[in-house]
Amino acid sequence: MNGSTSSPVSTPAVSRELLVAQIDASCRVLLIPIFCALLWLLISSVFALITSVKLHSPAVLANCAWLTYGHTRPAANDAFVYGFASQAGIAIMLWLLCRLGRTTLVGIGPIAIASVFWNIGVKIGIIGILSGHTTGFDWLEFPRAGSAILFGSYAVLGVCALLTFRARREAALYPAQWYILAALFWFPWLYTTARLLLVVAPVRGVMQFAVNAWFVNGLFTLWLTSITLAVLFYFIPKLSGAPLFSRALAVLGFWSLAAVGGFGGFYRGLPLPAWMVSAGMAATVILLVPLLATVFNLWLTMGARLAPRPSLLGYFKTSLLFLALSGVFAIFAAFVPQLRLTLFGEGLEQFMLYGVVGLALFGAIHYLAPRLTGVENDRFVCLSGRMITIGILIYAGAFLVGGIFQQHKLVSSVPFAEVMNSTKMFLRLSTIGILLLMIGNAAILWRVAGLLREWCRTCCKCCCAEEMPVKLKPAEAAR
Amino acid sequence: MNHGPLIFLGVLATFVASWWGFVFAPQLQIGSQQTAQTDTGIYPTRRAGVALQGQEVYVANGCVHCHSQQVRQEGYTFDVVLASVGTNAAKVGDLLRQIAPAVNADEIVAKVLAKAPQPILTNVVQAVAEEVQKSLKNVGASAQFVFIPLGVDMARGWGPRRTVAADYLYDYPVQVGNSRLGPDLSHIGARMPDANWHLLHLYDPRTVVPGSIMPAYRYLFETRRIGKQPSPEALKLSGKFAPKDGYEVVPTAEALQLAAYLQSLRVDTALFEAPLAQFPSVPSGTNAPVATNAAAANTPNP
Repeated sequence: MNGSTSSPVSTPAVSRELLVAQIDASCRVLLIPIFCALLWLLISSVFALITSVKLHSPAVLANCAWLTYGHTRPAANDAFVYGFASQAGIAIMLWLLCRLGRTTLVGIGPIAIASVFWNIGVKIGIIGILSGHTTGFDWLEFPRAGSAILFGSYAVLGVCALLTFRARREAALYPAQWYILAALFWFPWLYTTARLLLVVAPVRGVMQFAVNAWFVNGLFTLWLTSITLAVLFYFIPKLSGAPLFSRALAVLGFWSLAAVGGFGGFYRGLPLPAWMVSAGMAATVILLVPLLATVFNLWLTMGARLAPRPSLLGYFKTSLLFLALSGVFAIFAAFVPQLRLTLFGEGLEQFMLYGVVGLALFGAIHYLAPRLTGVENDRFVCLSGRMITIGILIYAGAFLVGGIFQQHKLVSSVPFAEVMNSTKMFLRLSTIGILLLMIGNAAILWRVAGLLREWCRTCCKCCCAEEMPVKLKPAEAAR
Repeated sequence: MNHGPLIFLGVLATFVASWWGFVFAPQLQIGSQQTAQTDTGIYPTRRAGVALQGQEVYVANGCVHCHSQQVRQEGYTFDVVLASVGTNAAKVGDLLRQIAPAVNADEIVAKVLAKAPQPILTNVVQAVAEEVQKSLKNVGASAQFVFIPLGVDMARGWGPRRTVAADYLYDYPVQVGNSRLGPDLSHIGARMPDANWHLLHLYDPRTVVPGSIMPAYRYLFETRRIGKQPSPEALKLSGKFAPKDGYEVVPTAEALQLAAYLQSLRVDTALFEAPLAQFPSVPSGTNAPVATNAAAANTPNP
């Protein structure tokens, strides 16, 4: 069951099962970040809903300074990336490190405390944005206090992850572990460099925009993509019950992503030296190499096999498909003049966040939650998957198509107010999309909350009956 | 790939490469840019105090999420302007008939003789413009060519030239922006110079731009009972936007600061790296001063 896709299994089946149970038991602390992440996800979609409604009905909540468009949009985005995706991503990566390394989680106490502080950091950040104390930089809007707490708790989580990685009993590394290891370093490096050069000791003039664009590109291409790929590389072979198609392709995909992923993020017309724009656009094209290598590798791994749990594999399958699509959209956005500044850019970001990163994490959470709580039920797995897939297709699709319309009108001589009014149909459509996403988000949260409640009830029963679950000694389990 | 340290080193190397390429190298190139002396003085200068406070309001309200501040150039072309005819008007007229059959050569020569420079060719590539300039020089006339930046943004009137690094030198945080749900604001101060227009627009965009999807910023205004005298600062609102009888809408300090900031946004200083699209043409029939200096300044150094 554990790591069967990466290496031959040598331990006897019974003790292996016990070890898996023990690993999962040690990872129970991860239910804190996972549950909080799902709460932030719901909060993010509420902000996204308000943002979306405001686009076509500007009068809604217009008199509330905290909920003006310029506040709700970054609040929705940051709640998603820092509250949900990063937090859930770290939790899932910790679990993956345990499972792939056949070891128990190191630093359960610090992880619990750091997770609490992470959420305090995000909360301060979101309140800062809503009250107008933003830094004014894309995806780095959190005021100083929020980001400092966030970074402090990340340091603890990162160290625990590295210690867990070191404590592994399986020497051979699996591709998912490469991505996890890389992501664990990329995120703090990117975040501190950007905060340092933008907020603590700001660079001058348009260099701020260059550093900001470099960070945003890294945040998406290195951090969020690595989390997604770690999840996909683990779950796709596991759930389809097949070994990875090609390790060589995985190596190619990983190193080419590492080599060019940090470049990019610049597009034509920016007030920057021309070589930066050219290099950025070239990197966007070269990114097709890791993209194709990874997508083909994982797609061929799935093959034509019928998965034992089609509904859960569907999450990862769709995420992989959307990953391929987003690469095509990114190239499209880089080369069609004016398109990057229209709704298309917004659509591309949301598509990557929900469609690629989100779906992979949702699938992983659906897999993890019953195993960590030890409660079995499959409620809402299909419902939330369908809602989120349809929701993101409508939500991002409306922005993407609307953006193309907007670009066509922008390059003509149509007055600007008319340009925007012609996209209203798409903006209304996006509200329907975000509503579906919200239902999907609520369904996941409801499922995990239900599992937690059930688990608490069993625990209470056990305590009352004084029938503590049998604890295994590590040596016994390792045998 | 079974060694953690190997992956760490590779990841470190690629990250440093990306940092070196896109953060450190541009910092060396443009990070220490200084102000420049232009025809109209030192550029850029710091914003005035109120406008600077207004920038904080702009940032705090997240205006950047809908408004970019970047004018983009997608190409360029040249116009050729006949500045003086010299001594041999007949020969110049003959030459004009050859190189610019579309224009009335005699009329142009007469006007230029009356000290009114005339465009003779529009929308030509640099090589053609240079050749025409040379052949006119051979017959004693002098011609200048004007650099015309082209692009959707210029066509929309969002700015007379593209924005360059120098334009943002004193901004913090720089609000270049990534979205154009609203029009570009690089040049809004020159496009809409009236503070009152900005205040009305902020109070409710629909008062001045019907059908606008911009949210109203009424929380930057105070609706209060009129005292002994109406406030001179009160907005002149009518119809459905007007407050109740006996009440007036007065902008808060923040609204005034924001309006001052918006008025301060303009990119109409000609720079070496970004000449202005301004055409040195003079309305026919007038004897206006010749804009030869401006035209010369606009001609890029070959």
